[in-house]
Amino acid sequence: MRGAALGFTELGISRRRVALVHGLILAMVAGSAFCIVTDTEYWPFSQYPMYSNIERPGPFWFLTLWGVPADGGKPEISITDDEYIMPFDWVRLNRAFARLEEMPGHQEKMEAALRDCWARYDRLRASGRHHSPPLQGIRLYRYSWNNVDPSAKLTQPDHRELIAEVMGRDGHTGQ
Amino acid sequence: MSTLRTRWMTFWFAPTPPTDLGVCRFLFFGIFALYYLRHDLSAWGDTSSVFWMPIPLFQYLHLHPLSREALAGLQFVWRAALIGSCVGFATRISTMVAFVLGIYFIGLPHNFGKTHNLDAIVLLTMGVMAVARCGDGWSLDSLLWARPPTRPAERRSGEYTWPIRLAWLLLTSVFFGAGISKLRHSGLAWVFSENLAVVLTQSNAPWGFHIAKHSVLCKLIAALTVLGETSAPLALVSPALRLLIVPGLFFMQLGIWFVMGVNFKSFMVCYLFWVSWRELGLWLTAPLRVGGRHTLIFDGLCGLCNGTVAWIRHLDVMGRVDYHDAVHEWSVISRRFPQLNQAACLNDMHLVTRSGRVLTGFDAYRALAWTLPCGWIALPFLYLPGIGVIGRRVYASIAARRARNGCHVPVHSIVVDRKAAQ
Repeated sequence: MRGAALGFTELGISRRRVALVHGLILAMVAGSAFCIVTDTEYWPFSQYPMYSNIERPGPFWFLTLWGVPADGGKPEISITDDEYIMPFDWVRLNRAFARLEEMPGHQEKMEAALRDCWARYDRLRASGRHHSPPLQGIRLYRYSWNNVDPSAKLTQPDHRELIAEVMGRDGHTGQ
Repeated sequence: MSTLRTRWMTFWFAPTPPTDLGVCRFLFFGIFALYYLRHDLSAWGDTSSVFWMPIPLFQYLHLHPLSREALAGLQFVWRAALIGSCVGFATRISTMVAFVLGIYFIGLPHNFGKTHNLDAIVLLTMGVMAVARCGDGWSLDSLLWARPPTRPAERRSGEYTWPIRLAWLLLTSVFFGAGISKLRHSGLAWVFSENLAVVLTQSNAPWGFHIAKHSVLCKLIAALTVLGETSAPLALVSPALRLLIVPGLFFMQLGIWFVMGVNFKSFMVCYLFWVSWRELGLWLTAPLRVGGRHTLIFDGLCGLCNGTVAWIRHLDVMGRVDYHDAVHEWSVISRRFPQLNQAACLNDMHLVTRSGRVLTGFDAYRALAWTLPCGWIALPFLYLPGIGVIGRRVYASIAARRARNGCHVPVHSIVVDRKAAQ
């Protein structure tokens, strides 16, 4: 085949279809190239920037979600696994909270978001997706480390800061 | 210029059988049908509007989260389209619906806080399949509309090549973009700084920490990552580099999943477009073909027989049967199998097994069931007590009706063939 003049009959495809396919190739290449060149993201096209920025040894933090069991004697439980927050996953929910925190009027927004998480926790519990105890409150913390050093494993955070909480069915809000 | 054009056209449109594209369609949609049957996306309908942070595509198309009930209904249609695309039923419509609804369902979660980049390629590949003629092989459509002349594996067209090549292009462009992003944002410091060691430590996965302790190893992995990503497009043009780059990228993602816990499940499904399924199938089934093939002899002037043989040809994915028309190829048949009688072959379908045993009617079908992978499911049933007697009677009844329905035994062809033989 190589080197010979290729006719559409030999290829088993019509000229119109070849034109259509070329249009499709062009659209895909143009979409990807535009995002790569402009360093922007227009889903489903992207420049795929994940992990492209340098992380250096130093301070590090992330958010984490905890439930306060209705039985006051029990310790807080981490509710970042999928069975507590689905259809969210924790990477998405964490990022959503981080974005809410940067928005104007963020306190009300965080409160509404926490209420939504609590309602989801209860729905998933009622549907049998998890068997953790009922809650009397829900809290969002920031765990931070003063210095992430590759030679040492990430263990207990240096600081645990309460970012927002919703307590009781009447929805008392802290922070 | 002409050579370049020829190379371009050969890359995209070199005629190939529909098998590879058909298997890719079957696996691609099958895996996502199973995945999305287990993930209820209608739950996004219950999510508070405080989390709604629309991506540009949803803003532009004015798309919003529907109620849970509406999402559940639409999701039912989407899942049906994914299953239809997998089995190749009404393939063109199924793949189109899967793609259009996929824009909404795959895109919807990205409007709630974070855009994951890992499933965009899935949607784009669905778009490619919606335009492609991917239902011509390994599909119910190809069985339902089977036509006698050729097995699907014998038809060749550029229509079955370009979708696979475009899937390759999409996958390599993802890696190329990721490599360029690293170099643009961080330069070579991405490789030569403590970056990867810190990222692995932050990920807090057990194996990541063990690797993070070895600075040189981290830098070597970082260098290979950037090299592999930026050189990914070379896999399109060089078959030799393809063998190195594509498995390298696959195992790199597997490694990231293992040491950092970043899950590339959806994305990694798209590697199946790099596998030559036809060649793999031929290689795997080579031992089964040792010792020759069965020969199926049928009445080529009978519509019912031709239709049945067309089905069998489609199901004979391992190519273990030869087909001969007792009307038009009797001279060939009589040379190979002098013990056969043409009139008998026109009355009943005959199967000459690899060992030379001659079986007819129901017994021929039962022997074929051992040969066709789809037939393996029926084998236990075909050997139940009494089934042989019933099967032979049913076959005889259908054969008799076939004669009454206008598929008469073409006696004249015997005369013609005998004359030709003389």
